[in-house]
Amino acid sequence: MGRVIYFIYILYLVGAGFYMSKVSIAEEKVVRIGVLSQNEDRLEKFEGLRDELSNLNYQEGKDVVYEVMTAPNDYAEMDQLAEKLVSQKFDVLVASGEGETRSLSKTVAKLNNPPPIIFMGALSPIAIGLVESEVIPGTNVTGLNNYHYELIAKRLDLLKRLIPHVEEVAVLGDRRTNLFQDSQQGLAQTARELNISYKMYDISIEQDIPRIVNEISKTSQAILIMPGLFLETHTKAIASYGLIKGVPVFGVYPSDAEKGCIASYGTSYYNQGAQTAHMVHKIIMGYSPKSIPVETAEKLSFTVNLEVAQKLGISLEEAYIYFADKVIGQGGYQ
Amino acid sequence: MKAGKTPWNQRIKTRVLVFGILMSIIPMVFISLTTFNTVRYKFKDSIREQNIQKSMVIATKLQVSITNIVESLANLTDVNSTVLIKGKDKEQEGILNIVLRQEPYLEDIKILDKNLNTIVQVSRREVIVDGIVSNVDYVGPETMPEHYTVSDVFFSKDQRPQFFITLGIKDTQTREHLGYLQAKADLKLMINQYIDTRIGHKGYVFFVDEEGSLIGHTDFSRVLSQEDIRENPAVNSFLTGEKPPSEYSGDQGEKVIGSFARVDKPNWGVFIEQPVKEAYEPIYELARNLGGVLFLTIAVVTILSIVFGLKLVQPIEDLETQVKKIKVTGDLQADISYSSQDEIGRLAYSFKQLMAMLDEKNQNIKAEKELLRTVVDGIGAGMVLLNVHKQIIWWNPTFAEWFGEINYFNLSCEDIVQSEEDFDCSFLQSGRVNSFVLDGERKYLRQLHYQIPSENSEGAVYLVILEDVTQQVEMESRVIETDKMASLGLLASGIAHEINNPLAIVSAYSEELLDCLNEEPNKVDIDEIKESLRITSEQIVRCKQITDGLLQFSRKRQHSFSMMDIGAVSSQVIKLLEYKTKQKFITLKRQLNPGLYIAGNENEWQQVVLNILSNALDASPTNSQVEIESCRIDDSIHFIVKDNGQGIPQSQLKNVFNPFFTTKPVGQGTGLGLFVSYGIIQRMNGRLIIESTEGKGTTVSITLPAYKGG
Repeated sequence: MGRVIYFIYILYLVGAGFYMSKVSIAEEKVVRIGVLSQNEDRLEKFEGLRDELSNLNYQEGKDVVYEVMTAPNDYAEMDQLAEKLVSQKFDVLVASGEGETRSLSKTVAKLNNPPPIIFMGALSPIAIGLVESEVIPGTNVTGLNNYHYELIAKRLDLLKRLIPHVEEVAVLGDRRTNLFQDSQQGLAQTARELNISYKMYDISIEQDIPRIVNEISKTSQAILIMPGLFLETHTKAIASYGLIKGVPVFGVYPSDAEKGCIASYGTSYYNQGAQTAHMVHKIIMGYSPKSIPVETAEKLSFTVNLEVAQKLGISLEEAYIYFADKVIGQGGYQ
Repeated sequence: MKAGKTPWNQRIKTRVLVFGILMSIIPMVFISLTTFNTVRYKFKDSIREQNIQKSMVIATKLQVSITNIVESLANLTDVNSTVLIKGKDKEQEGILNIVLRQEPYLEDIKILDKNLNTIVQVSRREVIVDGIVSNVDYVGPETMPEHYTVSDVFFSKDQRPQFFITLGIKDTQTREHLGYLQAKADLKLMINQYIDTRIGHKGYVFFVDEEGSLIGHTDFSRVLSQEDIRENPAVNSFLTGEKPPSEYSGDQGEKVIGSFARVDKPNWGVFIEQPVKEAYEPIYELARNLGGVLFLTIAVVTILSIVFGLKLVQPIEDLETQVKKIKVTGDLQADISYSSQDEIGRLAYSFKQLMAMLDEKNQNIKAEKELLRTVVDGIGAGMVLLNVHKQIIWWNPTFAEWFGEINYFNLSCEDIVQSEEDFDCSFLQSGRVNSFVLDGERKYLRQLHYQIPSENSEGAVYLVILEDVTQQVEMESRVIETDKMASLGLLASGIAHEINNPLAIVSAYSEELLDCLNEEPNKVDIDEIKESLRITSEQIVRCKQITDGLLQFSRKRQHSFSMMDIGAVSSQVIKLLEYKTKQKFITLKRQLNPGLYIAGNENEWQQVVLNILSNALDASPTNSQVEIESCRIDDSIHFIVKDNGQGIPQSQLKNVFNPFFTTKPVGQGTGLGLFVSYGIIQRMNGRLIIESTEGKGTTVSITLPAYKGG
C-alpha cells in the first residue's frame, strides 16, 4: 500500500509540475499570415492590411506575424511562391489580387483541410469565378471586390461631367482580362445614356502604347483606362503619351492621377488592403471564410490633377472638381 | 492491539503527512475560494459594465455620425435653400458634390421639389443620367413634422445596408416649403469601425432597427441572410423595454453575456454579446493559477510533511525495532539506546526502566514457576488441566508416569482414563475414589476436580487432581474387614443358637423317624414320614439361610458400586440379629419400603446396617423396641434406626466416630463400627447423623442419594 501511495504522490508531483509549466507558459497564439503579391506595387495593399490590423489591436510580432512573397509579374514564379507559402502552413493566406488568389487556390486544392485565402481586391469575383456567391462564398476563398469593373460606367460618367466637351472617348482595355468582353455591353449602354461615343482599344504589350495613343488622339478627346494588371502597371506610360498627344487620360487608382492622368476614380491599393484586414480579423476570430461575404470597396477616391489639365489646356467642370477627394495642382479646391 | 504490520493509514507519519497537507490545503482552499468568488463576481460585473459602456459608446458614436450628417445637410438647406431648388444645374451639382465629398458615409444625394420630383442628383457609384426624373425613394410622414426623417434600412445592389435621410427645404426668408434634400447613407461604412470592435476573441457587435431586424453584425453574412433575431433575449428586451438578462443563450446556442444601448434617432439598438466561456476566461485562468499554486503548495507541504514526519517517526521506529529484537531474543537485559533528551528519549528511558522491572518480575516468576513445578512434580498426585471441551491441555510428570509417556494434548478425558470403576469424566463427584490398574498394579486414585476461572491465557477450565489413595483404601479395607470379623465374632454365639434350634428340631424328627422305621417298619405312616421330612427340610433351609446370610456378610469386600434395594439388603442383615432381639425380647419394628434403590457396595451397606443395628440392640433394654425405617424424600433415601436405649452422653457424642472409641464393656465392642460406617457412608456420598439423648435413646439417620440409573 505504501508503494502505491508513493507512486501516486510522484505522479502527483509530475502532474503538478506539468500543470504549472502549462499554466506559466500559456500565452496567446501568434497568428501567421502569408501574403502573396504579384508585384511590388500591390504591396501597398499589404501596408493597408498591416496598418488596419494594427488599428484592430493586432500587434505585429506578438499577435500576428507576416510572411510576404512577391513575384514580379511572373505567373510561373508566383505559382512557386504559392507552393512555398502553402507548405509553410500559415493560418491565413492573403492574396493581393486575382492572379495571386488563383495560384494559392490551385495549390491548396490538393489539401484536405485548405487554409482560408483572402484576396485584397479583385475584379468582380463572381464574374471571374473566384467565388460562387458574394453573400456566401462557399469555399475557403473570400475577399474584396475592388469594384473597379462596376465603376467603369461611373468613370465614363465622371469623365463626361468633368470634361463636358468630350464627345468621343477611347477606352483602353486588355483583352486578356476576364471581363474585357463583358464590359462592352455596359459601356455601350452608359455611353448612350450620356450621349457620348466611345471606341475600344485592346492593348496588351508596352510597345503598342505610343502607337495606340497616337491613333486615339486622332479621333478621341479622352482616354478611359479599364482595370487590369497590364494597364495598371503601364498607366504612367499611357498618361505620358496622352499628355504628349494632348489626350487626357482617366485612370482607375487614386495614384493614377499622380502618374499623369487627368483624373481617376476607384479605391486605392491601401484602402483595399485596409478593408481586407477586417476580413482577416474575422478569420482570426474563428469565422469560416465560407460564411464571410465578399465585400465591395467602401472608400472610393476621386482624384483630379489640375496640373495635367493645365498642361493639356483643358478646363475642367468646377462642380465636379468639388467632388474630388484630392486635387493635384494650383493648391487644389479643398 | 494486534501485533504485526501497522496499516498505512494508522501510521504516525501518514497522519503527520495528512495533517500537514490538510493544514496547508484548507486555509489555501478557503482563501483561494474566497478570493476567486470575490474576483469572479467583481469580474462579471466589470465585464458586463464594460460591455454596456462599449455598446453605449458605439451607440453614441453612431448617433453622432448620423447627427453630423443631418446637421451638415440642415446647414446646407438653411443657407442654400434657394439655390438648391432654383439654382443652376452646375451650382446645384457643385453643392451636392461638396457635401458628398465631405460626408464619406453618403452614397448619393438628391434634391426633390415639393412634388417629389428629382431636380438634381449626384452619386458615388451610380451613373446619373440627365433628364431622367426618378421618383423619390423615401420621404417619411407626408407633413415632415420632424426636422428630418430616417428611412428603414435597405440593401443596395452590392448588398450594402443603406438608409435615406430626408430633410425639408424651406425658403430662408419666407419659410415656404420648397422641396426636399435626400441623402442615401451607407450604414455598413458607418458601422464598419464598430462591428470589428474587439470584444475579446469571440465577442461580436450587432445592430437592429426599431423593429428588431438585423442591420449590422460582425458576422455580416447573418445580416445578408436577413436572420430573424427577435427571439434573442436582449433584442426582445430592446423591443419590449423590459430589463435585459445579463446572461442568456445566444443565437448560436452558446451562453453569452449580453448588453445593449439605444441609438436615440433612429431608434436602433447596438448590441454586444460575448461568449461567457471566453469572457470569464481570465477568471478561469485565475482559477487555474490558483489551482497551480495550490498544487505546488501541496507538493511543498507534502515534502516537508514527509521530511518532518520521517524525522519524527524515525526514532519511534528505531525504538520499535529494538523492542521487536528484544521480543525475538527474549533478552530483557538488552540495552535500548537513544541519546536524545526529548520526549522520545524519555520514552526510551522509561522503556529501559520497564524492561528492568519486567526482567526482575520475570526472574521472580521463573523462580516461582520452578518452585511450583517442583511442588507439582513432587506432590505425588497426577494433575491435568482441561479446556472447556474437557480436552487435556497440560499434565504433570506424575500423570504421565501413571498413564504412560505420550502426548496427551487435546485428548479427551474418556480417551485417557479407563478406570475399572466408572470414572467421572463429567466431574459431577469430586473426591470420588477410582480403581486403576497401572503397570499391572492396582491403584486407587481419588479424583478431585476444580473449576478454574476461564480468563487464563491457556484456556484451562478444569483442574483434575488424581490423588493416590491406594494405601488409605487398603488400610480402610483392613479396618473394615477387622470390623467385620469382629462383628462376625460377636454374632457367632447368637448365630450358633439360631442354628442350634433348627438342628435340634432336625435331630428330634430324625430320631423319631428312625425309631419308627426301626420299631414298626411295616406300619410306617407315609404321611407322617413326609411331615417329618418336610419339617426337617424346612429347618435345614432355615439353617442354610442363616449360614448364607453369614457367608454373604463375611464375603471379601468388593469395591465396586452397584444398584441395590436398600430394604432387601438391610433385611438380610436384620435376620442375622434376630437371635439378639429374641434374647432381649426386643421388638424390631421395621418399615422398610421396597423399591428404594441406592448406588453402593452391598457388602459395605450390610456392614453399616449391622454396626448401627447392633449398637441399637446393645443399647436397648429388655422388652424395648427398635424402629427401622427407610423412605424416600425427593431425591434422597433416608434410613433411620431408632432405639429407646440409654443414649449417649453429650460429652461423648462427638467422639463416637473416632476409631476405637466405644462405650461398650470390654470385649463387647471394637470401637471401629461407627468409624467404618461413617467412612462407607461418605464414600456413598451420604450423610450419617447421630442424635442421642441420654436416658431416652439414640436415632441414627443416614441420607443417601437415590439411584438415578444409567
